[in-house]
Amino acid sequence: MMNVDCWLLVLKNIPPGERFQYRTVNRQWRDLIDYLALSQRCLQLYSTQSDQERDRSNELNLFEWPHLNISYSEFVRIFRQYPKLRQLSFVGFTHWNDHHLIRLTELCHSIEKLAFYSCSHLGMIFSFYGSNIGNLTKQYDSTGDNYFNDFGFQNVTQVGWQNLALSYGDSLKTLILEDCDLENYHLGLIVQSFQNLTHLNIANNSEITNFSPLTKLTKTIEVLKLGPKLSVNSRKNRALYNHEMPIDELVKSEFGQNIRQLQLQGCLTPKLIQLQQLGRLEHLIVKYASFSNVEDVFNMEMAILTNMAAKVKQLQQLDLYQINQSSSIDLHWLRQRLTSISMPPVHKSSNTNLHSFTLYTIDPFVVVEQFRMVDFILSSSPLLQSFGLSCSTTDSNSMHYNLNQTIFVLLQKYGNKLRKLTLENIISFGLYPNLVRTLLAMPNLVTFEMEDREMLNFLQCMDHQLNDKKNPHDLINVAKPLELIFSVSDLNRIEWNRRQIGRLSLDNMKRYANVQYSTRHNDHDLRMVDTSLGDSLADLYSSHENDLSDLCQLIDSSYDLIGHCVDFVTVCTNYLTLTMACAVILRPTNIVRNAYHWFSNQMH
Amino acid sequence: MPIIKLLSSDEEPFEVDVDIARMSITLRTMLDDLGIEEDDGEPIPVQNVNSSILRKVIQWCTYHKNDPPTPDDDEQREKRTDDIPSWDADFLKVDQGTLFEIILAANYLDIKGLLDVTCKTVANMIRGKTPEEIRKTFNIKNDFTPQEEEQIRRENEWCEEK
Repeated sequence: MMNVDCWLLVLKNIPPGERFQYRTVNRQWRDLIDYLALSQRCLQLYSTQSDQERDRSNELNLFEWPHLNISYSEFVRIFRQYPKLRQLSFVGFTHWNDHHLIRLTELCHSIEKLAFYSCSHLGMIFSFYGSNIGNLTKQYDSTGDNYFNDFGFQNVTQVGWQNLALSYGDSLKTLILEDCDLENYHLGLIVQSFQNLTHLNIANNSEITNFSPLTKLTKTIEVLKLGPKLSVNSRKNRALYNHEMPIDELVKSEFGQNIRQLQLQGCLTPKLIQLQQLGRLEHLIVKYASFSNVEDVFNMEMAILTNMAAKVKQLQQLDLYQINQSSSIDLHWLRQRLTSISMPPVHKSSNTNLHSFTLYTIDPFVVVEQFRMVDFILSSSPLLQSFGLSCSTTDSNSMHYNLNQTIFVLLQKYGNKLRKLTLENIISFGLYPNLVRTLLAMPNLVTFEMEDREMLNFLQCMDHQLNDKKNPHDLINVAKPLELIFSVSDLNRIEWNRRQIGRLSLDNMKRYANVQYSTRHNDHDLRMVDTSLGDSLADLYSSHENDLSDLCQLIDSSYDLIGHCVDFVTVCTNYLTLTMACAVILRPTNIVRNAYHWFSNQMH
Repeated sequence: MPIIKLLSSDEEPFEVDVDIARMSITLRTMLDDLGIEEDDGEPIPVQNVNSSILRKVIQWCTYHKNDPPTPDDDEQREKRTDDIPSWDADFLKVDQGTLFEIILAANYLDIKGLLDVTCKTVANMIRGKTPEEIRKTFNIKNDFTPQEEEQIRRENEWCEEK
């Protein structure tokens, strides 16, 4: 018989929302579940109707709710269970009123981290007409648009916000209000009321246009994220005209000197170089609207970024997200804005502290031009250990764009110190040879992550195979004696969706390699132990290049397994990439070279 | 590699690498307190764990001996339910009684990784089942009085309606 302690541990491994219904099993379970709720420190309420991603790594704190709203009474019943919460997140709830926040502060006294993601009715204070608020049938937001809510919910008004500020003003360390329709009023209130924040995230709130209150933000702030929501659809970005990254406010403020991580969003500005005045800034994230189809504007953007990277020498990590915009914006206005401050010449001075650089773009067209930025970063950052490149390789017609091979040349030239390389959606069939050459030029590489659209094909095909009632183990057995890369049985858990993004990473460890891939809603870990390619290659390594034939046999086995299916040819190329990557990580150099030749011959 | 002897509750001796034995916090503490570094002839008694379960525990520890250490801090651990490695999933395909005994052994020996994976396995057996199915699966008696049952039904109403 299981004892109480063990049942407690078992029940702890069930997410809180599911766990609650098991109170009806017996008295012991009821008491254990109530005890677990009483001691719960962290909770994430997630609306399953929202389009926000689930945080699978935090599943045991996840409370799933099937609606976009929680009624007042349900809200009270939920939080009565969890009086000792310290960290609380809401994801995707769009119906809020003052009562929610008031009761939250009454029921949960110990909150240190409060987060709202895509909780739209938290913001937009109404301008009420008439005195009897409860009888209003029409409500208006501050811009005068009709804002009637079919569910009869109101937005949170000043009453709710002030209650939140009054109750949590001193205790809250982290406040996240991302994509919540906040307005200038809210920023003012936050600055004034929350005096002990170390982390403030008010990103994706396009209605905040006046950042002047930031100058009075508490000195305790170490992480700050702000800026309007940037959409791929330029028509939604009219807010860009009203926004400038609040560089002046940041550098003038006292808290600026303590800030370690900063995320800015909006249109680029030459003022970015002023961030060099933020002495402790380690990690900078810039999400910017890029007008890449206008050559001179794009050149200005590149100049601003390279200039900033050169000047802000204290940075250890730089992440750039380029979100492409069409030219429907007033280009005259934009050009003036970008050139309003004269740009000093960019020298390839050394970025002495930069350890990590990632460039995200969702514009395939611009990908080919990005090597200028990559060139600058790689050539001027002697301490760079981690490099990432990410893009969407397909346009709306599903055309496949290749990454400019120049980037591989640069990686081969400068990447010998890299320990981590991340490539997301940039690999197509024709690039594999170059990728292998690139990996070969990185003797210190420990981690190689590849998020690859073609991996989707693999997962999809495997899914078909499994749904075809083929025993997963049959698939593995085909590849004997070395056996194949994946423990295919784990693929049973795939929730397949064509739009999901596949993720695959290889992580070098002592005796085994981990393979991870994630779909949009799931992460999957496939540990390659004993029967894995990692060990096979380790064995090959120990027995030197005589075993090249074994490696070829492994690759042949892959072909044997999947060669009958056209789609699986893609899979096979992925296996080859994996093979090369593993081989590089384990450094049996001769084997890799020879296998590469073998691979090249197969290709021709 | 130094070896020590463990003695199961039914008095079957097991020779184990010291490093593998030390994956158990209970044994590690015992070895440190007694200053034992290798076999000194006297087997260490592992009360509460019989030979068939101790064999399974040693098998698990041997397989995972090179795993990175599990973070002590509960806050730092990933809070997932679907991360049972496939080897462990196969290893734990045993009857319910054995599975429960492994949990008890892992708890007694304080082997976090094994306890974690076994508890997750049982948790996954629970998920998706109705309370009645759970009682049947784990042979649990419903000890609520009708009044208590009515009360708990009311308390749980909001969660069942969703």
